[in-house]
Amino acid sequence: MAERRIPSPLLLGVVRGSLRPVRPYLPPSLRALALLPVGVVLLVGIPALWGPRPNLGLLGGFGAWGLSALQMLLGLTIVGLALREAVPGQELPRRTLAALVLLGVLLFLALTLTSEWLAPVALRRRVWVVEAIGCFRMAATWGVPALAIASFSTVRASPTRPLVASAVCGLGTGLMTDAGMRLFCGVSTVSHVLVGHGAAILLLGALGAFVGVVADRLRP
Amino acid sequence: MDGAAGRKPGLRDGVTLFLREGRRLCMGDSGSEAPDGEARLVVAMIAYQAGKLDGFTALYAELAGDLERFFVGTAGREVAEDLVQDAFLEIHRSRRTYRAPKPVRPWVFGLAWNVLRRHRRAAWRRRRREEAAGAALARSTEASRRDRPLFDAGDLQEALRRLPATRREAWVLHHQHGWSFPEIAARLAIGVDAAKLRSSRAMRSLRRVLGVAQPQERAAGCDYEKGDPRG
Repeated sequence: MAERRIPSPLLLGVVRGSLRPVRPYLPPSLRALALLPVGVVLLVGIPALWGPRPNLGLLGGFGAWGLSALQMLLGLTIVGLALREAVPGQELPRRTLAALVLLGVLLFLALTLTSEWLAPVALRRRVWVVEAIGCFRMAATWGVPALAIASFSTVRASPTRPLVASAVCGLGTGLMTDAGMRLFCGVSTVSHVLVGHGAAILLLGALGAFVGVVADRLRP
Repeated sequence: MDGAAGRKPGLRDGVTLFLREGRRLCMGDSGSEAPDGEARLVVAMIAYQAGKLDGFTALYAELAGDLERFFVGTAGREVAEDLVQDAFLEIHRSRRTYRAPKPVRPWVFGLAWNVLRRHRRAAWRRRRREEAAGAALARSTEASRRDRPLFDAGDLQEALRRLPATRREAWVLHHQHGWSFPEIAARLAIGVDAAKLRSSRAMRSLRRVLGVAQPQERAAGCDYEKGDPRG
């Protein structure tokens, strides 16, 4: 027969003192969907505020907006999976995590090469470095607030692997941010995109991991 | 007989599997209902989330034993009871993150794992603090022992008086007046090595008389018979 226990009076007192009806969190997919406006703001806001890339026409409608929307949606999906990873008992298998990261990297590379192919730009060596630094800063400016919003949902779910959950969340946010940056930055040069834009994605991933670990340590 | 049982999986099965797995991953759907054994836990969790204390006590009654066994196996018997209490506090704080009808046990043990991680981290920090405090205490004890004089000036004078005059002179000139060995050798009209030897032997005699152990670490650097670095 299964043993049955009763909680100590102290524990029971603490629970009774703060017991009130709670509404369970929405499923990770719906919570990710709630972040769709953030993705749309990144996608539309960056080119709207700073102006679209000068060679946007060369990319065509699908090459520009279609592929960027695809990238934003993939980023949002990755954020959704990070939200799922954050819920205890629903952690993702390692293979799925590896596949996710790989998928994100591959899509980023594919879009970089596609942009280079559709709208090539010749830049002198020094210029692309300066442009890369500028893009990195701009991507960080947009990405960090988006990461703060997405991370809030991630860390409050008591993840068992806070570093993994938050890093994946950061990576997804980075891809979402880059979807907008791609429509603003006219420099298609592969080295520029990999260094300037890729570094921003990595920064957001690292920052997400840092936020996750710090939030976990601050938990009572 | 089921006709599908014998046939090989085809493209349609693959697509179905892909869609089901994709839905499972993207929608956060475990794809399986809670097994019968978990049904009571699910009902208890729903009641608990609705603000009923009975739900919590039922959850405690079902899971406290399992959690204690988990903590005994991972953290030790002496802290297991405390960690069970911590785990239920964590469950209480995080009860919104559970979604019925998902299995309760993986969720509970995920939270228990968090409690265990924090306990280990706190224990590691505590151990480091204690080690640092122990090392500081040992250092201060050693320093106070070193600072305490092992003998007084009268003892030293008496020990010096007992030494042969030749050794005493070399020792006093070197250790009290700070002369170098070539200077002592010139003063006493002896060789430099002889001056070192006299001083060294005097030091050894003094240590023996005063009951001070020969420090091994100094022996290598200040062995006058092998040559004083200052010499």
